[in-house]
Amino acid sequence: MPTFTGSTPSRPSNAISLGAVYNMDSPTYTLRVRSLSDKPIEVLGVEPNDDSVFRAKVTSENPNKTSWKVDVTIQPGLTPQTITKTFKLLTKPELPNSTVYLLGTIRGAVEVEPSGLLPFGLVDHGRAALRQVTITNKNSSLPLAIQNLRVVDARGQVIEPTGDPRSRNPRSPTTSA
Amino acid sequence: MTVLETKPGQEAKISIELRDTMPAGPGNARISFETGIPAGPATVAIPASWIVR
Repeated sequence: MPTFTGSTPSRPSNAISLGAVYNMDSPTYTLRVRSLSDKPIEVLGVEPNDDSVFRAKVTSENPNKTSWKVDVTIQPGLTPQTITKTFKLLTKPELPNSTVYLLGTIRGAVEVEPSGLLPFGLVDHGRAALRQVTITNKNSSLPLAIQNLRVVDARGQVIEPTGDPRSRNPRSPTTSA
Repeated sequence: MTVLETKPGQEAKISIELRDTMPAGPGNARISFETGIPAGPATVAIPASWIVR
């Protein structure tokens, strides 16, 4: 009976979690299939293996065919989402339970916190309120460069900064009132 | 708004001030900017809301 070694299973109970996959990356994860007895096992391939997101390649790790590795390469696409893949290991002799579940979370190379609504909440009239947005370059070799910063109101009109005009296209610390 | 590159090329912080001259009542706006990283995403838009009382 083979064993699968990889990340800690999470969902379903025997799923292998690949963790975060950044959308500008193309990582390869290696799963291993080992025979726990002296009898060899042959891993012929995986099925299906025609997915545009997941692609698997099977290679033997030793001459007596007791250990195999399955390299799964992910082309994650651009949309942040949870991706899952189920495939069956084709083995000789055939195994009763050879289904592998993979799941991963695609993330953008740029992360923004807060990611959703920026809430100012209740603000007393005549008082200012300050909030902060943090932008982090998680996985791009290109430098993060904030440009063309602007605010558009509910009617679609651009709210012009009234202070330092450099803040309309800030590349360095600038302030607008 | 103030942009501060806390880790140049890696991290930036934008401070957004709701001015004290905002009229009473609810309001909302969309803050947008470009990141310089294609598909990173290249453009980010963040909705903001408030109620001045």
